[in-house]
Amino acid sequence: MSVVKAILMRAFGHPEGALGRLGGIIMARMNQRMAARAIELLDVQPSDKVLEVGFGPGVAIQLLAKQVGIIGTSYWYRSFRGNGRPSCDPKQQGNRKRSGPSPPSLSRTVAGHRQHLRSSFDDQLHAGVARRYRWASRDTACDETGW
Amino acid sequence: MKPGGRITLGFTRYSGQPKSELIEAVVAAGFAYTQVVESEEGFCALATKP
Repeated sequence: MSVVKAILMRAFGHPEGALGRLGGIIMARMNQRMAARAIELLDVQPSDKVLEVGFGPGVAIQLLAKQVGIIGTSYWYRSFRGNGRPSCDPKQQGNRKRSGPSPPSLSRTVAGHRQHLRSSFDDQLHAGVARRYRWASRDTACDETGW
Repeated sequence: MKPGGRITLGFTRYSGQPKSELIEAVVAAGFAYTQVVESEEGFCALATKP
């Protein structure tokens, strides 16, 4: 592998270290307007459950979070573990009251756990894709598993 | 995705994704009511799951 290719891979392909952080900053700047445009077209409603498939530094999820009123660290952070049921992180919940409608929340999972998310999304967003990938076959696979 | 769910795929100018193949690929993935919207930043494909 050439030196130039190794540097590009460290910055963008498999971001690591200072080069990875630099790559993240560059990608965020390049993708922000596209992500905003894609979100605008999707017309996300506050009650929607949205799957954002991101390969970059998280620009689109940040814009989505702002749109539905998730600001800073006040969001209700959930992660999927073990049995696949959502479990709330008490460190992020603080003293939040449980009464009333559920607040907007962010969740995360890895692709291998997608069976836990079967048929549960109103919208799906892929924005600012930095390079061509075989997304058609990937989306077909996703559809077969219920994404 | 739920029936009636919407998908947006956004591609920057630097993505290398050919616009001409986009609609076919989205339809092949099982979506309907597809359209491509162009902008200064690139282009987006919009579609709905039947």
